[in-house]
Amino acid sequence: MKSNQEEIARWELHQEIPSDTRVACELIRSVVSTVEELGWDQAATFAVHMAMEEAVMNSIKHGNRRDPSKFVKIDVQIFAEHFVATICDEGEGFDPDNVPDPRCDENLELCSGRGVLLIRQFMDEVVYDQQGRRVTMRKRK
Amino acid sequence: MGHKHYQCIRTQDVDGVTVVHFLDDKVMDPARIEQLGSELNTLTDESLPPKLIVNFSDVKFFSSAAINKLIVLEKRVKEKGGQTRLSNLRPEVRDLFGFTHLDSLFRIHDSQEDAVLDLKQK
Repeated sequence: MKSNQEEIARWELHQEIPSDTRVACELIRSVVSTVEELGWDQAATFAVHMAMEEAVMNSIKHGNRRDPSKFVKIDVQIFAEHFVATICDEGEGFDPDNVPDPRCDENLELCSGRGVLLIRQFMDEVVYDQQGRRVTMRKRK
Repeated sequence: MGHKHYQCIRTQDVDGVTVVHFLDDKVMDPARIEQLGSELNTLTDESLPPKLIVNFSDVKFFSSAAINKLIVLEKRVKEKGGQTRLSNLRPEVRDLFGFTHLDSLFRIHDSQEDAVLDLKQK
């Protein structure tokens, strides 16, 4: 699902936001509304919404630890047949392959730790780099 | 119970069971989720033991932060000897509970009627 470099995005957004969940919420609403307007079906729209919500909120809460002096960089491109988003924070990073599995019985009732799992479940491709500070997520329409 | 004024939920009594509906179709706003958690806590204090059905029929999106409030609700209801059921989840929301294995923590019914019947048999 590599994007053709010649392909022009139907919609894109490149923005740095402060570590404020209210600002993030408005941005995510805008992305989801656009996905809906571009005719993505209910399931794909839900998937984009879930992944954006988890990735951006994780960056603010766990990456930047809500530090108001730190920002989250968000790049979104919506093509005819796929969605790509890159979310990058200014935190210390983490190892996404070494987080406790929230599906285990002992973790099931914990009120955190589902973000990485949900992003991977709802997106078709997920790549973490920059020591976990940046995630790139792709979804086919 | 029906007289209580909530901002994020509405409740109705069905055969002695409290049915909870969400007022937001997309449960994602951080401040609203905190309010939701507070209202669910209040709700569990109002009846002993609580028998609750959380009806998702109006819900198009439910964030993991909102799920955390449901987990707290489930624990509180259980502590008080009550029971919680979920009903009317659209397929994407149902998948959310499946992917996270939270469908083993919550009992989920296709319809509110099935959930009421289940609770009345307990």
